[in-house]
Amino acid sequence: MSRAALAVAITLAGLAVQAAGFDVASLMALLKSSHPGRATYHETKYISVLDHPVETDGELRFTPPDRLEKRSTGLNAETLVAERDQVTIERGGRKQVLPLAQYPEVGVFVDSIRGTLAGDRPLLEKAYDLSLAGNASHWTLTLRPRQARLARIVSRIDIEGAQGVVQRVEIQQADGDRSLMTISPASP
Amino acid sequence: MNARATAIGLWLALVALCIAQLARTAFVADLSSFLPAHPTAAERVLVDQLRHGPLSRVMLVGIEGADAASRAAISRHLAQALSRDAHFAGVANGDTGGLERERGLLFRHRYVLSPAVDAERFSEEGLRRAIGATLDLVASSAGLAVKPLLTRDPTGETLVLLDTLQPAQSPRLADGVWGSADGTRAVMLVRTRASGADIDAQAEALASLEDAFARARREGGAAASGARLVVTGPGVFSVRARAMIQHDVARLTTLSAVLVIALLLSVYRSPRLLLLGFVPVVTGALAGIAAVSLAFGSVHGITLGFGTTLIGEAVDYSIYLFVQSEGGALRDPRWSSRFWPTVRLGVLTSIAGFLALVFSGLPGLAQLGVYSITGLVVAAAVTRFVLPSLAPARLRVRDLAPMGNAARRALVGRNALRGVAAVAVIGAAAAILAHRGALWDRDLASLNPITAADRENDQRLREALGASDARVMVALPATSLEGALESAQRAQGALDRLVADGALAGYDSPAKLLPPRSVQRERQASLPDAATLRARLRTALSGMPLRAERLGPFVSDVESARAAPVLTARDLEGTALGLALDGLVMHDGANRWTAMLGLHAAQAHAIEPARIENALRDAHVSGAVVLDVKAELDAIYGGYFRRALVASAAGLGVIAVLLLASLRDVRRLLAVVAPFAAGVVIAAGAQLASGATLTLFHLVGMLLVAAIGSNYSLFFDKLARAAEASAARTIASLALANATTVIGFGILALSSIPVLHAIGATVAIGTLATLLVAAAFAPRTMSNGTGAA
Repeated sequence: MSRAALAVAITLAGLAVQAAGFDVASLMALLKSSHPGRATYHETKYISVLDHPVETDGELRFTPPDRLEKRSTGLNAETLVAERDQVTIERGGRKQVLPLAQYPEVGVFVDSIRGTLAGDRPLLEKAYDLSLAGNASHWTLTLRPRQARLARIVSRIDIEGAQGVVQRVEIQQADGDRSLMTISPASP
Repeated sequence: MNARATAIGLWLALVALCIAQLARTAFVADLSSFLPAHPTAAERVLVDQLRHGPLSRVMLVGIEGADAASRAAISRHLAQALSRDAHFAGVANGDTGGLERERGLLFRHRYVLSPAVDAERFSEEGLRRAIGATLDLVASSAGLAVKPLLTRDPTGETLVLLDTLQPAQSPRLADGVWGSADGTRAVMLVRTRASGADIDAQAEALASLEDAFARARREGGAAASGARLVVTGPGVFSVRARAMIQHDVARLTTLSAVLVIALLLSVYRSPRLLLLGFVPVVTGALAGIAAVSLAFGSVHGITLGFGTTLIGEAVDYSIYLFVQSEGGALRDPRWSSRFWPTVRLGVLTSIAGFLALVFSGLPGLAQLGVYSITGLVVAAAVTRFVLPSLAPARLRVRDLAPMGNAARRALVGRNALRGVAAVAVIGAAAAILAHRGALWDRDLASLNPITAADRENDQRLREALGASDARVMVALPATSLEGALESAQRAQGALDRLVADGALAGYDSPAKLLPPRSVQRERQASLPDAATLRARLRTALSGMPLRAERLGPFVSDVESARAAPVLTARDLEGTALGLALDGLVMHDGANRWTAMLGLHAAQAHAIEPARIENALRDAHVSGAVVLDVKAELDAIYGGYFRRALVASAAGLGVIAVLLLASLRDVRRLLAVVAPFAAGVVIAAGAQLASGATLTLFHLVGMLLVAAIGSNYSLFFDKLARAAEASAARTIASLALANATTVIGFGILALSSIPVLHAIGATVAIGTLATLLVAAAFAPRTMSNGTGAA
């Protein structure tokens, strides 16, 4: 074996070891250790009955362990605050408090994002089967609902990121519609 | 002999009649006897509400202890069990998981239920605006929940409806069920099928609820074992009050009888005499209950509790007869001529006192009055006319002169006692003066036999459930359900403006759940036909991401809504919506309906009833009564209070006239009045000094001090003038009579029922003070006499 070939082999082996070493547990540890903060998002919803997608922009703010704030701007402004087991949605000067347990349609987004940002594996595994692809610098965590009740709403959720930062959330709905959210760190 | 047989025969006949009446008497224990008998319009709505209206059927349930998850699990199990339980018409615990049927109903009837539906909304511009708003929602965080509605309900009527029907403030949720703000208890709202006035049914429902709780807790396993149940509500309070009354009546009557028997037995040392002494008491009690039963149709438990005082008072007459009779012979004709007039006058003054109760306006107190008057008259008459005939000719009463002499030496005309009496009167007067600003308790709650713990629990549960908020209600009378709904619909127009102005946070109205037929028809008429709607949609949706062709389901739903039969109360039956409607419309009697609209105060300021009234008048809502529940109840109590004051003053006046007519001497009158006036002052002062405020019941007690105390002063007056040879025996009889009165009323003071406690404590202290003052200030010559027996 030539030295060059050996070098390639070692490098490949190293990559393989690195890939094998990056599992759900290490992703959760990464996420847990990353600092909470603010981010802006751009969300695109593809809905079959509508001729073109619906787009919104806004800001996300996460405070561990379980407070998530989603503020959309523009004409359709809205503030969503999730805390513990309920969310408060405020739009057009009106406030609604919803228990997450009773509104899985809202809970799908809130719990998957919140659980991921917090690196809370038990919370995620309560509702979803997890699988992971990629490495620490670019990973994709896939969530598939375990219960039929949730599966009627969503078929899978792909969360992409780098290190402890979530960059992209794609929700595949059971009826074929989907939504895509790209997240970038807010300028301080 | 013949007269004797006649007397005994008549007495037996009376007893038989009373027992016959008693056998068909209903005994009740609800609290409505302490609500007005002749209410005004507003009072009537309120009293009806409190007796058997929707409010009376509410039970507030709290689950405390254990952890939050266990409490929520128990709450769910309990709700499930109660919704299958025939005792309950409905249960709410915040868990909306099981409301599919209601959601379906609202969805099907959305076009007649939604207040947003009118011709404008279905114009091109209206459609464009409504559908645009729904699309915005689809893009929002709750979009997934809204999206399935899009093709059938693009104008979002379902969402408008949910918004309209959402309570102005709902309890906070913990683990998916309602909980208190501090997170220490789960709370539920339960409505019974039976009226709150039906205490038996309420007791059954309560027992069933407690059973269901025990089962739900067992299902929760070890973690749930620390959970406790707290239940309050008008029906629950009635059940507990009845239990308390029954417990108190049995216990206090027994205790009082045992003590009086022990006292008399130790003095008489003759069981036969003791039995004879109770003949007037028992006859009087039987006659009293029979009279109440005849006059009121039923007898209240509290009236029976008051019976213990009759033991203490009616036994006095036989004491006077036994102890005062010359040589202890019961058939002493001289007693009739010498002492009977005094006893008779005493009976008359007592009647004057109790008459004030009869005219107090409270059926509960009126019963006490009728019972006592009948009981005393019958007891006195039996003592006078039957007792001597019943007594065996050879029966002799032990001479109590030595006891009387001892009492006389100890009490009559003693300077020390005079000093004590003067200090007591001055002290009591000072206490009254010190409290003169807040002498009388003006809160109706002070009459309510609810324990402080229960009241506090109720307050906490109401806060958690937001039920305390609907303090102001609008009552709209009508002759049919439809009329009540029409009226409510008209009122809504006025109330909506107040909400918009920020004067109200919101309100509950039956017409939101079931709009009147006319409104439903109007909404149906504003819906365009399929062809028109399609055409309008094409124009309205231009430039929007939603194409009209996609809205086929919407067009056909609107088409069928135009021709659908209107929604009726029957359609809502058995659902949470039916339950809510039932709570907002009251039906009593064939064509007496009342819509009850609960108003919720805006956070910034309290509700002004006058402003609501004006707004309703401007909207031409006829017959509306705005009820400020707390203010109304206080006004009712205030009304009673004034009436009771007048009745008491009249009673005192009658007593004074009776005494003056008999004594015919103002100075003697003053000498007779002074002791019981001192007794009244001391009794009131003692209550105030012990930290109690004076209620209506204390006022009644003071009147009774005057009525009973005047008997004592009369005997002293008689003694002072005649220097009777039998003075010692008279004093012994007075001491004994007072002892039994103090026992009867003193035992009553042990009761936890406010009416019995207040009257008992006041009379026991007041009569004892009266006797001591009368003795202390009696002429000294009496204490020197040795002429006794």
